[in-house]
Amino acid sequence: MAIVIIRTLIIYFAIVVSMRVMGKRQLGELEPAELVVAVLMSDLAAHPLQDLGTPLIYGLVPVLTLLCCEILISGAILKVSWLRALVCGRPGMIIENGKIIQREMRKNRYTLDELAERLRKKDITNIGTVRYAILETDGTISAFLYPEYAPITPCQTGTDVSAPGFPVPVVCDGRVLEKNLKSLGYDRVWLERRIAARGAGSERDVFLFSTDGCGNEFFQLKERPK
Amino acid sequence: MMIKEFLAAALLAALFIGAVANIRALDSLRVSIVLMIDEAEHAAGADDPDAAARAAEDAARLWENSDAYTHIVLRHSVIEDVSDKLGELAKAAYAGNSGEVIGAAKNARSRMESVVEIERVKMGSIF
Repeated sequence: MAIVIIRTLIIYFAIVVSMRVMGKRQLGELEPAELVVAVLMSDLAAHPLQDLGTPLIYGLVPVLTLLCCEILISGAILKVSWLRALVCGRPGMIIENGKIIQREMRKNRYTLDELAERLRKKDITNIGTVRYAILETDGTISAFLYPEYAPITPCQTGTDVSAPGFPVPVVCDGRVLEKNLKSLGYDRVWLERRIAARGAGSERDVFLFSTDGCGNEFFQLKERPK
Repeated sequence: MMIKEFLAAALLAALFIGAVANIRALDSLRVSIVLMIDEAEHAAGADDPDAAARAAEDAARLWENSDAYTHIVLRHSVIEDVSDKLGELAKAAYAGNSGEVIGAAKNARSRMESVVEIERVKMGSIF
C-alpha cells in the first residue's frame, strides 16, 4: 500500500512538472495541477473496476492520495505566491503595445495560427487592433483592443442605463423554489397572484417562472401531453 | 481557516500510517507462517511425517483464516498463489516424502517472503 501511495505521489508531481514544462498551450481551462488530477483520477479509479482480482483499495488509495495532494497544493498556492507561479506558471504577454512578443510565443510553443484562432474566437479578426494579449495560466487568451477599436461603453457616451436584476427561477417544472422566492423577498401569496395573472391554475401548470425582482419576468406554461 | 488542508494532511498521514501498519501486519503473518513451514521441514527431515503434515496444515489454515484481511490488501492472484504453494507443502507432507517436503517448503517460504517484500518501501519496489 505504501508503494501505491509513493508511486501516486511521484506520478502526480512528474505530470504536474511535465505540464508546466509543456507550456500553457496544452491546457484547456484547467490549471496544470487540476488537469493532472482529472487525467489520473479517472484511470486510477477504473483499474480495480475492470480487474476484479485487484483489491478496491488499490484504486481508492491513489485517488485519496491525489485528493490530498490537490487540496494541499491548492491551499498552499493560495498562501504562497511563488508556489503558485511554480505550479500554475505566470501569465505571459503575447502582444504588448501592438507588438507580438515572439520570445513569449516560442516559450509557450504558441504558433501564429493558434493566436489568430484564439483571437477570432473573441471576435477579433484583425490582429493589428489588439494592443495587449495575455496568455493566461489556464491557456486562455485575454485580449485588449486599442481604444479606437474597442466597443463604446455607456459610460463613454454618458448614457444613463438602469442595471437589470439577476433573473432567478421561482417555479421550475411545477415545483416552487422556496429558497429563491425568499431571497427575492416574495412569498407564496405574491407567487399565486402572479401565476393567476398569467392564466395558470397553480404552480403545477408552470414549466418555468423566473423573475429578477425588478419586474422582468419569464413565464412559460407546461405543455399538455397529446 | 485551513480546515480542509488540515484534514487532507491528516488523511495523507493516516494513509501512510495505514500503509506502515499493513506492512507490519503482513510481516507478522509471514513470520508465523514461515515458522510453521520451517517446523514442517524439520519434522520431515527428522522422519516425523505426522508432525510435518500438522505443521503444513497449520500454515495453510492460518493463511486461509487471514483471508478477510489479505483479500483487502493483496492482489487475489498473489493470495491464490500462496495458497497453492502451502497446499503443495501439505500434500508433500501427507505423502511422507521428505525430499518433496523440503522442496515445497522452500517454494512456499520464498513466496511468503516475496508477498511482504513487494510491500516494503524500497527503490526497487517503487520504480
